Amino acid sequence: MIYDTYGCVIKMRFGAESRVENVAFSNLIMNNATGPISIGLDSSPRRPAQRKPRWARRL
Amino acid sequence: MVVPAGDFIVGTVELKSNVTLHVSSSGRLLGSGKPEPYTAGKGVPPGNGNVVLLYAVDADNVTIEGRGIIDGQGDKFYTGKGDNTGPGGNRAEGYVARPHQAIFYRCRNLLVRDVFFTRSAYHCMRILECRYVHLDGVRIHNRVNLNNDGFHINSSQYVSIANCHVTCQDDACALFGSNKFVTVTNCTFSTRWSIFRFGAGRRRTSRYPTA
Repeated sequence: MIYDTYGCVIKMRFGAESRVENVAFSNLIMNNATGPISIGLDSSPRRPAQRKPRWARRL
Repeated sequence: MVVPAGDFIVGTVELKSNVTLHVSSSGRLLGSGKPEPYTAGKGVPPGNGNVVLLYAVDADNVTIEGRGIIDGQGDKFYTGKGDNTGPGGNRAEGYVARPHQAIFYRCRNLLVRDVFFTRSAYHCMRILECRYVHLDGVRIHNRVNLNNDGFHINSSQYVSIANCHVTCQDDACALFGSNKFVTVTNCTFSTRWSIFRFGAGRRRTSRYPTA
């Protein structure tokens, strides 16, 4: 049970070289939560040589 | 180790292997409201601060239990300044020299149950590179200072959080670094920031082989 949350309930940010897999949520009840779910990648460098891999799967 | 009925003011306390800290139902362990009785936990890495009230390092079979209260009196450390670890923050000027309520670093078979943690000066419970962690029936009310996290778990494995009730100011259940096999069941959370926060911190190679 998530209640009175004036932010983000699930906040995922994937930076360089991060790997996230096999994450499961079930039976979440949110009551008065302003930002339920946010999933995003951090900004990556413009030069391809400086970019590092990151991935998320099976969420 | 038993905290009997009454109030007891302490500074930094280290829990060694095979120690059970029992806080009895009318007992209250109060963290000092002054900085002098606190030290950095021996062996605890300094990132995000390592000044602490209760801690264990490289310890097996540590237990904290009982229906009593562990009160950090963190409101007395309020300066209006946070740790500046958010996006764009200047970490060098962050306020990290205030005590976390509990840090467990590289521990195995850690059990925390039934205890009420409140008023930490910083994070409530930091679990760093631990394995086989069981948090059951824990209640946290942590809203007196900036960066008042609930559970903050870094690069740990086999962590179960069950039947807990967390109200805090910052991340309620942060999962940083490389965690594996974490379950959270039958809990309630309320915060002013994030409940489940993933992805911050650095990825590191686990010190444990993959099962």
